[in-house]
Amino acid sequence: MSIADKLTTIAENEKKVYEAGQKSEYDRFWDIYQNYGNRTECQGMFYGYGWKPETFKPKYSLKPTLAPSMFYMARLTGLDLVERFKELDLELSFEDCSNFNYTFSLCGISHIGVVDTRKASSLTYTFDQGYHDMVTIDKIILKDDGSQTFSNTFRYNYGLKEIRFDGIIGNDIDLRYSTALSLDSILSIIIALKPDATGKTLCLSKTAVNKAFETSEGANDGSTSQGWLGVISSKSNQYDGTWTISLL
Amino acid sequence: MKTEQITVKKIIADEGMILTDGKTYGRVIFLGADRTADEFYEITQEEYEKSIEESGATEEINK
Repeated sequence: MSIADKLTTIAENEKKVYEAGQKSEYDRFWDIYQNYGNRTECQGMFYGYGWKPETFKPKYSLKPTLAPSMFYMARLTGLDLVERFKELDLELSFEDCSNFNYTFSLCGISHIGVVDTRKASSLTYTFDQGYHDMVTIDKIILKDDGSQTFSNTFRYNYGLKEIRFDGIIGNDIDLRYSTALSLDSILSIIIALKPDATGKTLCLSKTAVNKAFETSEGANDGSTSQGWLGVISSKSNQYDGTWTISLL
Repeated sequence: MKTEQITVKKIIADEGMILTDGKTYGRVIFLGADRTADEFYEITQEEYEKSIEESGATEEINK
């Protein structure tokens, strides 16, 4: 091969070499960071400003057993977590997770998939400070005994529109900040309320209820509608409905 | 066949005020069977916001 030919080959291969180098570094980092796919203790794993949508590209599926502050204060603004894992052909499963303190607090993620919380006793600050970023939580799976507690779980989630629950809500729960919560979301919450829970309170946004149950488009009168009263009457009434429901 | 009458009891705060029992806050509150209106009292919007501040919120990061 002449020198000219060799130089041509080198130039043609330069991009391949660069990409191979990048892949090598990517593999090296994530192999160690995720312990070749075996890491399950994920506390603070994606904590902090360095985690952005362009850097959040795990190599292996994630199945945390511990997830306190897993995404806390990340800069994953606008990230669709469900879509990202689909693109990577990976899974994110919380079915073995027993600690959700601050898991998705202040992280900027817009779409969270299924969060199976059945191994945890509490959801403390779990989705706290979603502000206007967090829009959709596909499903939160709760225990069937209503024993789990919710402390500041959904605080400052102004942008939350869609949320669904499986399982039972048996303790105070507060979604007062979610002014855009959809009708189906509110129904999902009401349905999940434990029928015989005593002294428990559900707090919702009055704006959300007024919109979701409005009697005609633009009326914003849902909180006084028969539809709303019909929905809550099985859970909040003066006979056997023990839930107090406050609209703020 | 049996019929039941279900009563939903609600209390409504005056304009600009918020109801509370010290723990729960609301402009409209639908009372559970074991609660009474006497347990609630009205506070101003400012008093409510002060109570939220005192709960130690982190400031929203400017985006």
